Amino acid sequence: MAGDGDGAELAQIRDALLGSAAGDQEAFSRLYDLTSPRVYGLIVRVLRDRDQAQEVAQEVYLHVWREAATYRADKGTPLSWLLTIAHRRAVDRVRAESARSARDVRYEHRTRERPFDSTADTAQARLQGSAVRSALTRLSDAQREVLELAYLEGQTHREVSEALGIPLGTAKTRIRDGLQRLRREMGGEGSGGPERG
Amino acid sequence: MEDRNGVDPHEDVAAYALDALADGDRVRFEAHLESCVSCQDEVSDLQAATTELSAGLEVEPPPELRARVLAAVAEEEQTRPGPGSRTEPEADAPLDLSRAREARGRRGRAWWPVAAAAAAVLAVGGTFLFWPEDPAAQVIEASDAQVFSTSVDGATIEVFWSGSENEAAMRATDLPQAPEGRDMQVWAIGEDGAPRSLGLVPRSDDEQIAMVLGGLSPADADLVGITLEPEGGSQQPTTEPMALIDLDA
Repeated sequence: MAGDGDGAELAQIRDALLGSAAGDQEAFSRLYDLTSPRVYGLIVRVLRDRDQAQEVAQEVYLHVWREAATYRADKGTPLSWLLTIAHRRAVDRVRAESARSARDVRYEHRTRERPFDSTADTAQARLQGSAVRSALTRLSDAQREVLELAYLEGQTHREVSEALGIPLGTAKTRIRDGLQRLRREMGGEGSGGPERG
Repeated sequence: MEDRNGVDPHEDVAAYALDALADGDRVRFEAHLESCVSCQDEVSDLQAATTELSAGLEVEPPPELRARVLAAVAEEEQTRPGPGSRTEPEADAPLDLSRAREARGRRGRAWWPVAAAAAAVLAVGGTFLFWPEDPAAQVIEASDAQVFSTSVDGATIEVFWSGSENEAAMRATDLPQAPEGRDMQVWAIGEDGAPRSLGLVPRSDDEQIAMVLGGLSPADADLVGITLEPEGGSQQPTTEPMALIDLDA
């Protein structure tokens, strides 16, 4: 699938979103059909848990239904808007879960005889499935690595710096250079804000 | 480490676009973003670029999800005209705890809002027990009080320990009331064995509730948990904790 670069699909998604904004449930179901593999795929990748991914995806689409009218074309494509919402929710869920997983694990230890099965560890599986993905292949390995840790693993830039054993400042620079390069490689998304640093 | 005190606020723009700022950093950056047009533009551009990071990860969601999403939207439309157009949520099912537990067991957090909604519907006319003269406040306001806290879906629960008072207290903000026939019970969980009850959360329609946690000391417990129990409490927790507060932090 060619991302949201495909003109015809882009127009279909845009129409479906506009219809949803007007309260048209048919249009919303088309929006769902056009975008859900992409949205759900991202959420599954970040959460690594299909039950939770379904919960989050449902929240995302309800949010989209309620807020469709707030979409602004000058802020990006409809798909990018949806994915931004989905990613934020997925990451918030990951952070809430990992904050509590340490406590939950201890609670399990203290209140049950049986050993805790280490579901928490699944969040640790890293960087698998780096299928060759278009513009990403034009980044340096180091840039791709920080972007994937941050975006797909839901790590904060501090966590990225700790995971890689690099100073926070380096992690920030690498994340920024990588993302700006990705934007350039994708060609003319936006009119190119000033490139600082 | 470096830069705790904002060197260049612009520099977090890419991390923000990737949702890679922890809560505190995110809040700080958003405050900056409000007044920085160039960062606003850059955030939009960079967020557009992040779409590329999930290209190729498509997963066909299960058909049930589609059905649930569309049903939820249809239902919301029905309700939209205003409350009262739909009947109150199944009055004969005060709180479906089995489902709630299941959800929690899946590591979902879905049941808290369920409990809150049920409590909002059902807790009217419960007996409200206000604690006398607030011995809890003495602990909370003690100059040496340590605070341990957690947030669960909009509620904040703080546990205070004061060495000088030799006493612990809990303060809960925006905690929904237990539904009728249930109580929220607080537990001390230590390294050895069974949780010890620290008492029931008093029923109150104040948004903030404080209680003394008699006999709790961080020396012999490292977690405080809250569970929903049958009215009057249980000997041991019978449901999954709705909140756990870590005393190790």
